[in-house]
Amino acid sequence: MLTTPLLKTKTMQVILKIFLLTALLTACSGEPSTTTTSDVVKPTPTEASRILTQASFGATTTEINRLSNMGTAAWFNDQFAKPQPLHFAYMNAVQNNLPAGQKLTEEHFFESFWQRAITGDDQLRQRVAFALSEIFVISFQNNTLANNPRGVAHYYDTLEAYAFGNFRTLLEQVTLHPMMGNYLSSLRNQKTVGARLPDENYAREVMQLFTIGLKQLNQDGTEVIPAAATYTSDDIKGLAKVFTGWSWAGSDKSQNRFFGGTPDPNRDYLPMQNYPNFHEPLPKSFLGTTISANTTGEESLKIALDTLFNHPNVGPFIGRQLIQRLVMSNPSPAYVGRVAAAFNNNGLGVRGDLKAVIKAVMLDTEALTASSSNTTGKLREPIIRLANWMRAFHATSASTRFQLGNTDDPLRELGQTQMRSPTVFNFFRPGYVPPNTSISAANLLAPEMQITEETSVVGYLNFMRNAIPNGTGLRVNNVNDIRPDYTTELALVATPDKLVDHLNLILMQNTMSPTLRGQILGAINVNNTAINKVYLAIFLIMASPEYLVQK
Amino acid sequence: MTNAINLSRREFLRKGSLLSVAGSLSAPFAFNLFSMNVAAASTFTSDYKAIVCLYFGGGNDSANMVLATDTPSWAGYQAARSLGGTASIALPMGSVLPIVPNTTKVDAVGTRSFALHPNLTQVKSLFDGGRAAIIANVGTLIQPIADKVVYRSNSVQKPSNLFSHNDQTDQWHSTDPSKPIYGWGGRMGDVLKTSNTKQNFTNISSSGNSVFLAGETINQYQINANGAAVPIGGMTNLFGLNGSNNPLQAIITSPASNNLLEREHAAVVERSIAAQTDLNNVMSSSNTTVPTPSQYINPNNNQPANNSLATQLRTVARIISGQSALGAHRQVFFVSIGGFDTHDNQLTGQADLMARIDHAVAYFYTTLATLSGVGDMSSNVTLFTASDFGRTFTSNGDGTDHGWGAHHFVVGGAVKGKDIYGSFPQTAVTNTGAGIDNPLDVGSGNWIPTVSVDQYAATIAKWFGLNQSEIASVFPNLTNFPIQDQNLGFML
Repeated sequence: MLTTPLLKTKTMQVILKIFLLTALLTACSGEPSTTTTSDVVKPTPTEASRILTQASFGATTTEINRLSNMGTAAWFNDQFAKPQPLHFAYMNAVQNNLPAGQKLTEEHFFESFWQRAITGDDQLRQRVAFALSEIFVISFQNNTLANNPRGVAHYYDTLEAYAFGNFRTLLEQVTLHPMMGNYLSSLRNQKTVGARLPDENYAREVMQLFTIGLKQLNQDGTEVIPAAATYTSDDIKGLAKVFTGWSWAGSDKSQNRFFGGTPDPNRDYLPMQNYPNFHEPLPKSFLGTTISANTTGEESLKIALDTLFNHPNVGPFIGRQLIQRLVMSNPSPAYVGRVAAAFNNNGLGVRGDLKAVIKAVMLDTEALTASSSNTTGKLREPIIRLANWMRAFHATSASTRFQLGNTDDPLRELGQTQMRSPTVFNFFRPGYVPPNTSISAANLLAPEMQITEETSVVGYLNFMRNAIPNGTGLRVNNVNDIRPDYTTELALVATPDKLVDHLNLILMQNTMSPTLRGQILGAINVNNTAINKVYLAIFLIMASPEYLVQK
Repeated sequence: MTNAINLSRREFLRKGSLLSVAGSLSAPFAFNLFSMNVAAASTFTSDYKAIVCLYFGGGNDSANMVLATDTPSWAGYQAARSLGGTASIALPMGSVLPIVPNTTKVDAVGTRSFALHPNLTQVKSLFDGGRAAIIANVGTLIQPIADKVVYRSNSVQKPSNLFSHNDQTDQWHSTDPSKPIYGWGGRMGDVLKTSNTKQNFTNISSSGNSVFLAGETINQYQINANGAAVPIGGMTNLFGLNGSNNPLQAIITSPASNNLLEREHAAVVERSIAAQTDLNNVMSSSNTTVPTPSQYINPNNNQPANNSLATQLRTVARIISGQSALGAHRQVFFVSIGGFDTHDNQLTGQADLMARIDHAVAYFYTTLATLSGVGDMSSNVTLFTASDFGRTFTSNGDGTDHGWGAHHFVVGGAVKGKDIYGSFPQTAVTNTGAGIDNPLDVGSGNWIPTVSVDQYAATIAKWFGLNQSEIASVFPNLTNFPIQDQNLGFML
């Protein structure tokens, strides 16, 4: 009987908090927080856990308390100001210690990735960069990239560096990165000569996937009706000319260097340079813009990227995908519209300010408040689930390196490894609809369901059932490199309700249903060792659809 | 025993509630389910047939897979692709493998002659032996498009988002613009699933989630590429807990909430559990009886290496060998091999891919000919190829860009082989010297397809056993093509 008024009061409180929060973040945009913020908007532990499940690789008791004490605005400002340690530096350090003749591999990047995801204090940057890596996709599955792991690490640094910067800069850094150049074959691309035409690969994907998409969009992300294409084949052919003449960086612009000869030792990460002899001198027309004949490669690139950046689709197209990667699969058009508006103008007349976009994504009512709708939420992807577990239980690495190789195998592992997407279309597509389901019947999307199938569900459950008691990662002398610490949980075993409360908060943002709670309490109330009870509670939660769907 | 009863009861409840959810949101969906269940469908309970889709991920450059070698065509090919030095993506005449179709092709170019990619030696043997056919210039079409003038006039309906990987992949897999998430393999499974005792195993992918196998009433089973059948552990004993105290199965299959994502995740888990025992029976016995493929030789370094495509086809052969255990009479399989998006380094990249395909297909048909327990299955199994699109006939230096129509091959004892079906694009250089002037060229040597995916697919579907009305429902574009062209005649 008391439920309804209580709920109403709670909702009112949340709305008030969001209002204050928005005002505060707008007021102190870019500036470190002052002491006033934390006094006003202090999220409850549940609210803090909810923010952290979206804005980090997983909530921990410590971080929930920190966020609750700091206040949301201060926490975000603190995160924006965190320095960025470089994967690139880690790769160089590893390289320096490798025995002569041994080369860096993708696994060294994976070590760096997991170290930062689990122990890094710049969690917001880490989480947003991972989301960006699923939009601006390159992959170690490409042989050239597999042979240049330091270059890929530097690319990931680039995503992190500009995650809080401007989209226009991010777009340029991505475009000129030699790993992207190799992945989408803009590197060594040449002007029209006789029957030979410029390679269209990057021109197509930079439009389809990285900026504007296929269809003209309204600012709320819905498609313009009647449907209208954003570009034609001729636009691609025109834009392809811009991406000619680019190749490896180096001390000269010789033909030999263009084709890969006399490699500069740092060409794996230095931005590609333009070789005038190979750049298209013909006029370049695309999207209503024409670059006149004989314009330089650098100037052509500037015009092209400005044109893409200023296309009205970018805000809703990228904004919607960031919401999907971080918060939910099916945001309302109004939510997408608010994020697009932040992209279009950060409040100070600046377009493409990703800090403003991230705030709009994370601090929206739809992100901050739990919804009881049966269509809310997103399926947590396997990498995120593993990271949630490692963070929640303070995983440490015996080697300090977090040695965990690729987890590609869907049957025995996770069916997903960071930076190993099978194609430029990511592990799953933002528009994926699982066929023959209630989701497709309701005209909804479920991107992560694209990698959820009869085999992968077995792989995930068995992987976690092994990892929870034994840890994971490289096994040396019968001990796994990455191991959890259940000290806190063991202390709660004597009070099963408190144990479940604790896990419900850090893993599930207090969304556990009474049914699941009853099932878990039933399981841990059976006579058993204390540590088995901890394993049971954690595994049953992490196996449950209620946990798997972030809500 | 207890579990099985609980499971089926839960399944019943879940399906009931799903239907009511669907009904409240979308009446046509519920109606479809109903009508599919009661419609009289073709059912086969004595013979066995299977279709295997071999997918080339990324868009195969079929112009280097099947080549026109008559003098004018070859001159055009060289002009477009032999750009000198590292920039050449033309295959040398001395390396390609000549083939002589039963039916001589004579067209505006003259009498055509043909060859296969140098690394397709065993596919050539299958072709020469009458067990493989080539279908020329196949691609996504909603209705015929006569030439580039018609194409540009916007007087015909064109496939949307041409030249885009994911969109063209979906259209190849689906062919139905109104149902882009359902594939024609899946829709055939919807129709014929009543032929199979274990309907879970009607549509099987060894290569992840494919649109091709997605049905409106049937789900594809995604098997591990190696065919390994692994159960979910901890279902009985879990961390010291056993038997009836263990809530794991209830938790993972029966969420308390109505959240659609939670319920659909649980449905996948439930299907996985239901299929596991059957699969394990078939896969454990066939692991010894179906031979493992040898290594193939990578033509770029002449070193032997494992061929994961052959492994996938072994998994398919193992399931076919278990047809009686599964009560299977009609099955559709999906296997795939990636790496065809050869914007650069095409000559070496594609050579390796062709060698893998050649090795895997030859292994598959050799294995099918003496399949343990079921005998010679090579005439019961038809393999066809598919890909995102063809590629530009022109060169970008060391590779090719996204195209449209492409040549494909069909293999099996039921194929009327040693022939090339459909008209082969004209690639002769014109007298004016303006390059290749092909009325089907919409730019850069991207051919408007002269055979639609529907025609290609429906010809196979007819052999598979679909009747005329079922074919019409599975391939809604087919009616846009002349009746005499709706069956291309390459199947016995």
